[in-house]
Amino acid sequence: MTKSITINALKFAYPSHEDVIDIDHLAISSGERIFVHGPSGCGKTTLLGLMSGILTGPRGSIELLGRDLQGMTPAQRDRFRGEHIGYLFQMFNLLPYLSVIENIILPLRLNRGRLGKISGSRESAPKNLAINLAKSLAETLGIDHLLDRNATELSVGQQQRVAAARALIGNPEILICDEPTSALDSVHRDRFLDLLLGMNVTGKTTVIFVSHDQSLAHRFDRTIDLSTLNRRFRASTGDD
Amino acid sequence: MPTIIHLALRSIMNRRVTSALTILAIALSMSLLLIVERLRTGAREGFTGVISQTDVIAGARSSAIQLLLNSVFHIGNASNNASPETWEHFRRHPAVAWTIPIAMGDSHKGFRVIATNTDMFLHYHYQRDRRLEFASGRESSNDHEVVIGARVRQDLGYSVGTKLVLAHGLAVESFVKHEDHPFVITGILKSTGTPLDRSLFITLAAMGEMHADGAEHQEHQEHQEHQEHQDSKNTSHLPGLTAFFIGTKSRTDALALQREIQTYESEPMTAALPGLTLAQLWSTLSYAEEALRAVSMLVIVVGLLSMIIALYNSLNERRREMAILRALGARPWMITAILLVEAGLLTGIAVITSIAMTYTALAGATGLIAANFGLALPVTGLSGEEWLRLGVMFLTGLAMAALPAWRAYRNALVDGLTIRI
Repeated sequence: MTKSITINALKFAYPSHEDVIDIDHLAISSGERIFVHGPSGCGKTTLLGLMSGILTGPRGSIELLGRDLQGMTPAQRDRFRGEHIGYLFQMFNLLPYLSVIENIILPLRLNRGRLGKISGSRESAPKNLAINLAKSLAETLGIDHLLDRNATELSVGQQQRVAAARALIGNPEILICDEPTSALDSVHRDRFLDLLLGMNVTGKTTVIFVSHDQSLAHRFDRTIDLSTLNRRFRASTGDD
Repeated sequence: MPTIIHLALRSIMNRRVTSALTILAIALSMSLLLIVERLRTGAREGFTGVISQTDVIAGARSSAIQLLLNSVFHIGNASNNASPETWEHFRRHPAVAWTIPIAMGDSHKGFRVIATNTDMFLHYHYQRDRRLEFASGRESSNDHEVVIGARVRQDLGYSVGTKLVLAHGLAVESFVKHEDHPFVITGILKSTGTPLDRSLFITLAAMGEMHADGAEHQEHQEHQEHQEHQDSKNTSHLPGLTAFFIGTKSRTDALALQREIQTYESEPMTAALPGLTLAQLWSTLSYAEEALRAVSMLVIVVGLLSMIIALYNSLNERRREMAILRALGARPWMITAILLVEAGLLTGIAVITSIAMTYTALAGATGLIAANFGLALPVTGLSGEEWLRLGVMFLTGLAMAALPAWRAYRNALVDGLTIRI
């Protein structure tokens, strides 16, 4: 099975601080759905920043889709992220001054490669391909009646569904979710998870889902406890 | 790049009240500068264009500026007059092409009376190449006819055929009136934007007749005596001249002629080169204009600063937006570019608005300014210099926006995907 994410001997420290990440080995197969949990301060957000190639200067190696992130220039990493990764934040995912549909197609506008991957050519993607993609995604997520609304007019649950559509548009190989359900009540949380994981039935997209809510773990293929995986955290709590 | 412009535009639209106020502040300051500059050039052109093509102004001994003020701007009174004989001497000078004699001292309801001859209408030029033109009627052909300036007609409501009498001296209600020498208006001049608009023109002979001895017309008693002389019909008796304007055959003769007049032995004389003297006079007045300019520059800096402050203040609340864009694959420079484009759009729209506001103001005020200050502000297209000025302001706005843009870049690098609220 092809590896989607491979991490080896990864260490990372913020400038003039001690290491916050120390992971010996982590391999995630393509299409796997991973639930990552752990207490606050165990390095969840930092790990996501490293995986997405935004945080620079870790030691060790991170391979995404068979490509070594360390070997890329910052520009290449940004482009790689734009083309291959979908990202969901905890809340406030949307640009307040864009409409819902504009928010959804934004990744395609910022990264020609992401649209080109679907249409098969970087240059001549059909003009309304992006719009059509966004509309069908919106339909599946039940937000197609909101497309022309302003992002600020939506409820939190609606906002997260729009954000999911934006993260999934253009079929990114990796979907990173940083506690996307923490702002939702339990009913909305379950419906949102149904939708999010239902989008992934083809099994092509690798999902990294970070949450402190362990009751969600059963819905994923594998659970990773970052507080055990991250030796740095283990060491610091051991000292206490 | 289209995406960046689109995002910047939508971001501005989202904060449309703040944006509109920012644009208004910058546009107002820019059009203030444009208008001040227009007034400045208009004032300078109106000032230096008050007399053109006259190479030398000659008059009795005083200073060049004094002579110019008396004879061209009609300010103050010449303490001495030049004799008609001196004028005769220089009008026949081989270097001289033409002369315009000017004799002043009388008035009509506060307006100056200029005694001159028909050469005034032939040779007096202003604003480089414009001559006196008649709005109606013709020049005076005898000693009881008078031509009036546009402002005189406007204020007093006279028309061709109106009869009037002149007063001795300049007081509005002069005790001494030349009641025995009535005039009839034969011509009305078009507006020139020069002091001539506020003048009445009679012949030298008419003035001579009224005063008989122009050099000493201050004394009332004498005056009465002279009036008695008038019955003798001594029309060839010319009054003393406040000044005479000289056009030379060749401009290169002007300096030599000036020197010759200054050293004329029969009578102490002063000769002024009008271009030079006008420039001197203007430079003594121009400090006010410089101050005005400095103030409008400062206003622009304040306007642009308000934009920078608005952008800078928005940065913190926009860190979340930057993190989202970064997560979607935006490069840090794109964040910077969005802010720069926003600043560019704001100043760009402000430039266009300021041009519109300037022309609206000029169109509304040109008539008013022309009527009240005799200042012609032509509503012409923007000059190269004005475009340059607007360009500099635009670039200054962009340069100042570099600070918040750089700050946003730093934030984007430091924050990464951390959403700060």
